[in-house]
Amino acid sequence: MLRTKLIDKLSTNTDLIGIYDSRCLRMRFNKNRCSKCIDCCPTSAIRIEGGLDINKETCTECMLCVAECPSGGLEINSFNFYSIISKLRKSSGGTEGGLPPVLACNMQEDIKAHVNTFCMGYLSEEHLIALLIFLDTPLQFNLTGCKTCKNSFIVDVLKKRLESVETKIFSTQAKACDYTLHPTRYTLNNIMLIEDKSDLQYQAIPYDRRGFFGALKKLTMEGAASFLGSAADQKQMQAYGDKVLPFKRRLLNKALSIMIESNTKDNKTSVSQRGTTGNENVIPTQVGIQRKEELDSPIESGNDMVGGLSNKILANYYFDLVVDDNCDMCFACIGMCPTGALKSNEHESINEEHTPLSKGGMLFNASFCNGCGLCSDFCMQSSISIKHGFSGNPFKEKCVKKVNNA
Amino acid sequence: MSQNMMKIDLSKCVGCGTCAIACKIGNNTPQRLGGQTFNRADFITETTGYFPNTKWIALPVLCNHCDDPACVAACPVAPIADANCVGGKRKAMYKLTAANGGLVLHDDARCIGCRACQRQCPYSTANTEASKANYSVISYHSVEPFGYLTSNSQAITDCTASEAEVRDAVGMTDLAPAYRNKWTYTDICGVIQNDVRRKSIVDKCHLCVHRLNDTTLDVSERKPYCVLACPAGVREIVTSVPAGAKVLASKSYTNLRKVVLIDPPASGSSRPNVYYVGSFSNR
Repeated sequence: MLRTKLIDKLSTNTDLIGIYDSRCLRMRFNKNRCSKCIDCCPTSAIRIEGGLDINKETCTECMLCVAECPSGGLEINSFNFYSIISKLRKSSGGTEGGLPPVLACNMQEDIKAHVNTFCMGYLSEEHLIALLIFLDTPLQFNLTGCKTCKNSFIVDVLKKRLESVETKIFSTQAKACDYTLHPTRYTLNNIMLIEDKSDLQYQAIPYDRRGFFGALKKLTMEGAASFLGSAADQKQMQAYGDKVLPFKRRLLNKALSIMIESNTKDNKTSVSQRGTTGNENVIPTQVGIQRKEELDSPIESGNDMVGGLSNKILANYYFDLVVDDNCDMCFACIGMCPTGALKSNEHESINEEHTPLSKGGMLFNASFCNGCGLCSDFCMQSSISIKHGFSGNPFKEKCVKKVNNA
Repeated sequence: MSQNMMKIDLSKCVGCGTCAIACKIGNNTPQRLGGQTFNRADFITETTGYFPNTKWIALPVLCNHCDDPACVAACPVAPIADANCVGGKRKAMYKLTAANGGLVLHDDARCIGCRACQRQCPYSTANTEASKANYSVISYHSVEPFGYLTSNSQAITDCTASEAEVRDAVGMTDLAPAYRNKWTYTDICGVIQNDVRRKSIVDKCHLCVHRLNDTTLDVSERKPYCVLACPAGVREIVTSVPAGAKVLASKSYTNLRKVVLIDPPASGSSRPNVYYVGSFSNR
């Protein structure tokens, strides 16, 4: 098995950007006119008519389309953003006085950085928020090579995205609040875009022998894991019936659930203490799922600052769905939804783990909704409307349509 | 090749249901569940009149593979250019051109499970229990097909084994039943027709396209399972409209509750391709 996989991997030159027709809004619904990827592409390398495709000759791999696509139709192949976060956390030195870690692209050879990644156009607003929340320290983006790069427009795009994050999440009132646990953690200044080499504060991590071999072992294991895992992953995603949440939304969900968790937690264990004790490099992966039941209460309680922030994220990046009385319960929207935010509990009684809210009806999970609007466009009764902003607990399914069991 | 049609001779049909059983086994369709029939070859019976002047008829029902299919028009998936399909476009539900057999087929991989086809089809309903319909030619898989033997509940707690434990004990990894008929067929458009279908897609008759076009089979065997199995020779694949043929009235006449046969309408319908001839009388 390993041998065939090796041959597969080496013989097929895998592309950097994975194309998933089944998640593309235009492929799912022929009346949809989403053109975000085409609009943002600087070289017009993307084609949608007759199947999503990227012209590899003109594509400069700036990854803007990956950040723009609302449904994850374009995603980076076998790429683990969490490993980048954990590497950055490690690079911060663990001490208070350490210099902030540096993130850079791998488009040019001589760029100093702790972590090299693809061209940073894929860092959407959701990615930036996640970086701000997951990292305890400030972070430097090394953009010193961008001037001479073919993707030089990335700097402006990143600036715009950071500004947008600031206006949406960190309004002036939120900044004025005194947040004692992490005085600078949630400020925009935590992400520094370094365009001039003299501004860069870079300190290579000194490796002793133990550290060197430890790092080598980790790299090898990570490489092997991604090597063996990726081929199988790609095949699973091709059916149109499969619901897939785009990565940037999963990332934001995780960041949000961590904020809510730290907020609802007892004040005795503060965020900073948890950050420095024990497994600081492990990013909790199951938080959102495990704590679903405990998060029934609204998010207001506990720390006002965190509560305010998470509410702002909810208000700006999440969506609410309303179904009016015209709904004839055809539930075609459930099939149309690309992410699985809508669910029918018509047949839940078959599955014994579930206790249905009512015998039939439609459930909406806001943490899965990317606001693409396919459901409301497709609805034959025009009874679905999507609102920007959500209040309450996004991880809890709410019943948006009940069936009368007469 | 020309448009495939099915001729059903009602004067021979006694309603034994062999076609339905043959289809179920041949195409691995699950049991009736939650208003979904999963009967690609279904049949309805109806008794009318008052004793002693009663009349009883049996009527086999299947997908009509219409010339102007409402299900294809309703499918919201973006079309792919394909010269083998009518209009040169292939959605998740598509109709082959007459030169390719003219069947209305379904692409399991591209189906998003919105059930728009089921609602628009003149011979289908979204839930037969709710609308008190007798049949529906398009069904929807709301749970994993063959998802039985998965229950974890024990009849007597900590005493009897649950279904899942039994399954594990006998080493049954596949959820399909023992009579599962394994086949895979790639049709002329490159769409894979498969034996067991997954959750959240629709399911309809494909007139056993994998048998019709299988050159490894004997010519007399290149027929759908229902045709092969019928002991009375009621069903027949034909390529021209039989004389005096009638077609099934759509749900706007019958609500799929009664048997109404009408002359083939020239316009204003989806122009079905299953024709009924003769009539059965038990007296």
